[in-house]
Amino acid sequence: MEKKNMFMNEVNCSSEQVQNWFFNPNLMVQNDPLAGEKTVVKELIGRIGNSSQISKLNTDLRFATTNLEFGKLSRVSSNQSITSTPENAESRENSSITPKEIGPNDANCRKRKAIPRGKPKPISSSNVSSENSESSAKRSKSDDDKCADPPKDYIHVRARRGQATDAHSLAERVRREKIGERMKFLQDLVPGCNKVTGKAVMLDEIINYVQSLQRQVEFLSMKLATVNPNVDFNMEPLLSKDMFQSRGAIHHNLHGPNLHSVAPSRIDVAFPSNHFNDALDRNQSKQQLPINNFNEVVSTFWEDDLHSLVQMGIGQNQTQSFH
Amino acid sequence: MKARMGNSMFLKHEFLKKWIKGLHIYSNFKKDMSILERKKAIKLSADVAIASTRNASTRWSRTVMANISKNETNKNKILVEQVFSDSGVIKKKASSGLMACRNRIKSKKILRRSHITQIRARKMGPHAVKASSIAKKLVKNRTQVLKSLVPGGENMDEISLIKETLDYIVSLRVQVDVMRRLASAAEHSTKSL
Repeated sequence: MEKKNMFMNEVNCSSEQVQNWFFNPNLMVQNDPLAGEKTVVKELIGRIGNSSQISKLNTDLRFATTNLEFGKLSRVSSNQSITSTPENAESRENSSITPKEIGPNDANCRKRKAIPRGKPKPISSSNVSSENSESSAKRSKSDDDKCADPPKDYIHVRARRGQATDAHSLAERVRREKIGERMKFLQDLVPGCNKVTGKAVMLDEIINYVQSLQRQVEFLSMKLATVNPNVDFNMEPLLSKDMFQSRGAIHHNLHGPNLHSVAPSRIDVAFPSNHFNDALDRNQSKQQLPINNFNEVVSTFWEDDLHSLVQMGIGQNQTQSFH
Repeated sequence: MKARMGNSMFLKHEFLKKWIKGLHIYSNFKKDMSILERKKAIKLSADVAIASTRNASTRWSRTVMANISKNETNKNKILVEQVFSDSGVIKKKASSGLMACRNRIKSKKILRRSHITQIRARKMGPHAVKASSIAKKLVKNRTQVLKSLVPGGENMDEISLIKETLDYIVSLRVQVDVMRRLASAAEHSTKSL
């Protein structure tokens, strides 16, 4: 018991340090999971394994466990780590979301995904339970001498304080947390989901949103079909003189000299809203390349098919000739 | 915020490019189309375009492409193949993914059945209506609905379903945004004349 108390004191004192330290190695973990974790583990040993009590604890634990590797931090740090995820969420949102990105980006190195090899999981879980019963090791980061063994193919999850240490429940909890994280991303995406908590209601919101988006696509395609008698309508009716003149001022600002003078109008007219123009202004440097390509596509398209378009009879939009 | 804006702009450009390509091909096939045919053509080429911006990296995009090339006539297949040169890759990926999913689903179903019979054997007592069980039912129903909404969602587990939904929502928003602006631009032009 004394060991326990002294150990807890140590842990509490150093918890701050560890929390501060904890984030950096997490960033390392992304790139090279195994190497990062190894260094993380070594740092842990270095920082904490100083006191004699802890080393004693180490030896005790070593006898009790064989496969166990380092576990997660105490609950306290979990809150802070979650706040770091929203930054990741935003940048990740628009890029194609791959499982590998999200996994290591968990600020809590609570688990590492792996293929179970050789030693089955139940052994590790029973070791967890025995270890937990022996000491308040739920908060310990000390039994890391074994971590010299490469942290290979295991899903290592440390049971939290006051929760079941069953292998099944651990796996379930991991799964639930994954789902919860992704729901958070969805919360940012779906409007009006901020106040809502709980899976069922959020799923409802998501379903409504997806349905509304799909209906909008249908409706807009119908609208586009009615507006023009021809499917190939995109460029011709949009390049009316009025639009060109009204946006003339904006064109010269937005597009540099390397674009054709006529070309800018096509893009701008295709996106008439001011919002787009402002955004285009801001992101001009980024957009130069795609805009150039787009212009080439459009201009070749235009020159090749100008006559065919005109002949197709665009209905009422016959006032201009764009030679 | 700027990074996100830049990325979505790029997506919009990509989508518009491909959409126009598709529409052009359609107009080459048929000169005069009825309004419904036009609407179908527009929607189809928009769907193909938005799916191809993902480059077959997501399940839903592969499913969309596969469905379009499966359905109907040669027209669609030609459309897909001409406009999007990597459709062969897509088809392969789609089919292989499907097989793996089916196997996974079969094994899951077997496990679930055995599990359920076990539970039934144990619980002989009165059926207590707990809030948690109601919530679970709700969640289950709604995930089923979501699976039916997201293309290719039937064969996925919850975690990847949510991931796919995220991606699908983003792409849908891009699609809707571009289409809406095009529609309003076209409206403006017709009004001004």
